[in-house]
Amino acid sequence: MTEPGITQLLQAVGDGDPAALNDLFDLLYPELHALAHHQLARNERQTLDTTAIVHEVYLRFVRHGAVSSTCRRHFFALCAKSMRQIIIDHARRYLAGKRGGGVTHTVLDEGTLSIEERADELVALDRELERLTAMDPRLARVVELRFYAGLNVDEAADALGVAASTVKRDWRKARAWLYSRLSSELAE
Amino acid sequence: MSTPSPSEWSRIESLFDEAVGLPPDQREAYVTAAEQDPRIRDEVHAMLRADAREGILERSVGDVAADFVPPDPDETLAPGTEIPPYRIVRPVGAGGMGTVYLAERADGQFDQQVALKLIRSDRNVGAIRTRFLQERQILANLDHPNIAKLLDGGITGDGRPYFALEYVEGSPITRYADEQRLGVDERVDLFRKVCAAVAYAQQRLVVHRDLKPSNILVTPEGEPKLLDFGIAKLFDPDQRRPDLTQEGTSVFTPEYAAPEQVRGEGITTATDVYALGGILYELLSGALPLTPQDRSLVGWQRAILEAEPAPITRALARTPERERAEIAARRRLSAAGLSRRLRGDLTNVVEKSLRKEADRRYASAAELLEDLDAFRRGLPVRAAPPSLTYRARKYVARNRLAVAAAGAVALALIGGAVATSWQAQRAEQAAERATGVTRFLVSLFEDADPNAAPGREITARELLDRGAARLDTELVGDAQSRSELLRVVGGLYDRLGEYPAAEELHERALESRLALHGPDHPLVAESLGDLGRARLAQSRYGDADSLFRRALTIHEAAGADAASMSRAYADLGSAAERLGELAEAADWYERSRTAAAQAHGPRSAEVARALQDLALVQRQSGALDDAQASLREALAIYQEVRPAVHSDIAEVLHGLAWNRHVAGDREEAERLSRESVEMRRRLYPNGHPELAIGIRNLGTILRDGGDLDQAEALFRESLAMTLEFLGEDHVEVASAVNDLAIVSFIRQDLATAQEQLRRARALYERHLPADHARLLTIDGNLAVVALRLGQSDEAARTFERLVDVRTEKFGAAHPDVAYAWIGVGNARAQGESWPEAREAYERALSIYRELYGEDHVDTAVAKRFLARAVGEEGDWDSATRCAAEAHAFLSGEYPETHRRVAEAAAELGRAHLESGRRNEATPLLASALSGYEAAFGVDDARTREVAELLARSR
Repeated sequence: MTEPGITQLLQAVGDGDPAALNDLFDLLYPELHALAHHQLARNERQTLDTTAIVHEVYLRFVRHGAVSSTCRRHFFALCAKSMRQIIIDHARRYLAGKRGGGVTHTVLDEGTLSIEERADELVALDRELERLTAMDPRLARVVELRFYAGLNVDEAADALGVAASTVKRDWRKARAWLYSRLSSELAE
Repeated sequence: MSTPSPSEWSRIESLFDEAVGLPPDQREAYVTAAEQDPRIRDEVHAMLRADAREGILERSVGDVAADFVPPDPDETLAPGTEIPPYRIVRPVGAGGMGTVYLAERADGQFDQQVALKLIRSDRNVGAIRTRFLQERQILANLDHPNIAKLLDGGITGDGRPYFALEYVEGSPITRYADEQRLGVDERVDLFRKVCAAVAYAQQRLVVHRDLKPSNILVTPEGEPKLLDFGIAKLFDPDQRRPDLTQEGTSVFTPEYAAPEQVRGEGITTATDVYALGGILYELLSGALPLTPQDRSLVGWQRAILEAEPAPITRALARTPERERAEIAARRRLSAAGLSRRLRGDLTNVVEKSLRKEADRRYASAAELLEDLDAFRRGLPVRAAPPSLTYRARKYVARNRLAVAAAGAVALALIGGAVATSWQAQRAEQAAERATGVTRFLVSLFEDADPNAAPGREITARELLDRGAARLDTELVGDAQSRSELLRVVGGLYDRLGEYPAAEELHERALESRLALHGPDHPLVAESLGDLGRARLAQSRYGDADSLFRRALTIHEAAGADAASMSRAYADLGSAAERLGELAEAADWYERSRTAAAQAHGPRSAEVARALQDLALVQRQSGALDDAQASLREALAIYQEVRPAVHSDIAEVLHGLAWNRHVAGDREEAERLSRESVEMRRRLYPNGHPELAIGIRNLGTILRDGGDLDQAEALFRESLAMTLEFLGEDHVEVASAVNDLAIVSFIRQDLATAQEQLRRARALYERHLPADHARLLTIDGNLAVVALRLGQSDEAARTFERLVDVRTEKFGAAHPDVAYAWIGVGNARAQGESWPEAREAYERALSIYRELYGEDHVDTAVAKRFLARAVGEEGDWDSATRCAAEAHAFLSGEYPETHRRVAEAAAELGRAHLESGRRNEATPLLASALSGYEAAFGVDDARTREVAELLARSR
């Protein structure tokens, strides 16, 4: 084995090795990325189920019983970050292609946003999330876990090592803050 | 406002938290009043308004993002790109490993289209290349019409591995079957081709590892083609270190992944069998075998490692009606028709393929194929025998025909036929017999078509009755088949708890076998065992015992194998145990264990089972430590041979819990019992009769520990589950209700207790013989409750019934009969019918005298009771003599303050008092009173009665 495995890396992260975090991210990102595409390719309805992806990766990488709860937390935190990164990368790429190429065809259903508006919204959300991270990292992490990785309240609580009630409270607060920011941006 | 400072944020945060705790219309005013700083105030107001909004965060990120995440992970190679000797035509798909292209030969040597699989660059290229070189010859040699051929493989200019495979145009097998509206048989036939291809590869030591519908394409001509054979292996982590902690990016798909793949354990041909089972499941029923509800991480792991897939027929039954009709229509059947077609053999074949333990599946695709071939030819399938007990219990016990009974009967039947083939029968004869028997049963079920009797379900009991009747009236094949059938139907009655019917059929099977084979034949021994167990279940222990002994003699003479001997010993052990011959029972169980070790190995499940039996006897003998040791040993064995979560382990844990309970170690009992219940909850997320029993026992442990509320909640849960699985009309329901009654009784809610006990009794009465131990227990309970409610006539009648039943069962001179007489006496005494009371006590006394002689506690206690009745009839002198004898003996046996001494002293005191001897009465009554106070408390009615006597005496 030339590359260190996920478990070893998780262990190293747990031991406070900052380089391991990068290695882990490098390892997870392509895997999640590939799975996201894979899922889109095989899925007729063309939806992306990030929850399933994160769990699938977990099943593949971190085998049954092989990791401590600390490791699992790191794993989910990183997965959530990776998913966020993957999605924002694509949103940016899409917008770049769009605006560069001047293709303007978007389908607008009543009540749904156009693809372009969705991409815009994701980019805006990402920016506000970055600011929230600076202000209150835990709230931002809750959003990453819930929104990007698709974990439910209990799973997010497990991944953060806090009570479910805390996650609920944080989530509500984070939502309110982000929406208040996003709406003011739109108003500008 | 730009981003708030930390102190501002902390103020904003806490204001928001406080505000959302208030009703919505008060929030804004609260913030306005609480905060001076307008900037902070505005922020919180804005947040409160935003709190009510819905937006992007309420959507699934996948929905939001799906449109602009393109389905090709790598920079797609443009058409015309050359990877010598191939040229890309267009991309055709993407998978976890990389992208697949349609490509053609660039050198024009052949006019050949290939599927070019280009491996993603982030994979560990070096290792894959090395392994590819090792494997390519083997893979290239796979030459089968249903396997897409591996043509070539190499490394691209930029160092990425690629494979060139035969290009297959077609649809995934499941989609193809639906599009073509293939019927069940056609689907099985298509799938058999798949099995044949996998079997072919497995014979050449190639395991696929990633079988799934998208890897099995069906061409427009209807030929299945398997893709990617052996390729998954190339991606496995270092195979020289196949230890459990290894990890890596193995390729498999959760929907079809076998437990050993998730655990990272050894991959075998049975791993492919599991995936094939999943595909067959889907192909037949339109559903996936495992559908974890929340798809959470824990959910998936549990599902793959622990959850039993629902039998395909049940999966179908759970599908919403419209969808079910559509699924059936795609198979050219009605929903009911499809369900009928799938139940039985196909359900069993799928079940056997999907077992968690690899060694309990078909060992290879070839074995699976054999069973499917047999199915198509109408022959018995192999899937049945090992699961006979499990299936029959699980399904027939539901007491409904519905889906399951048919499967279970056919299954049990074949089990019976195959199980007898160990003796000199030729295999074909056995198969022929089984076929005849199958035909008979199938005809039975055709009659039971729910369409023929719409609006009601036929119970398993009715079905069996019909079968039994037909056995009488119709000629069923030859005499051998007939005896098989008798035995099978008898066994099913047994499972339903219909013991008299079971007994009758086993008797007839025995007669038939005696006539056919003579008295010394192993089949006769087998029937003797069956009959014995049916009688044992009806509490006719002596009968059972002699039958088991005859069976043993035959087995010994025939030199039967160790497995049969082990069974015979275990039977004898259970009879001895019920007869109260505990030492003998322990001896038999020990022998059973030795034989089991010989037959199945010293660390086998069979040995563990014998140890569990042994523990039961040890516990009853009071040897709790020995019982504990036996159970621990059984647990250790199961932990070796079973997965970590398994019903056998749950059962041993439960036994250990009960042991601790008996030993009075409440905490440990509760801990173990909870562990056992938790395990069963995981094993049976949708409930199960075994789980219901476990919950009930936990309830009992808590109840005896005084936690009545929790106990009651558990009893109710157990009752609901029992009702769901076994229906209202079942013995287990009665036992659960009886448990609730005991809670009511402890709570002094006597009316409720009585009602519950009556309900339980009515059920027992319908299902158990009149002299069954459970029925007797509940009668005892009913009588005690009636007595406490002051219903002396009712209590007396119940005790009298007990006297009758017990006399018939045990003979007149039996302690249980005497005890029932005491009950009659007490009830009559409460009603002040003194002559009847006296007569009852006299009968009890004479039994005790006969059994134990004059100097025995029970004899003395009976005298004490008798004294009162004799006195109240008017003869206080005789009463005094009688009470004095009791008191004298008991005083010698127990300390003065003991309840029994106090009770005798009270009666003697009363007799003296009534005879006018106050001086003698007073000290006796005073001493009795302190004994009563200690035993029952000051406020108890009995204590108060003694106090009154003492007051009169003084």
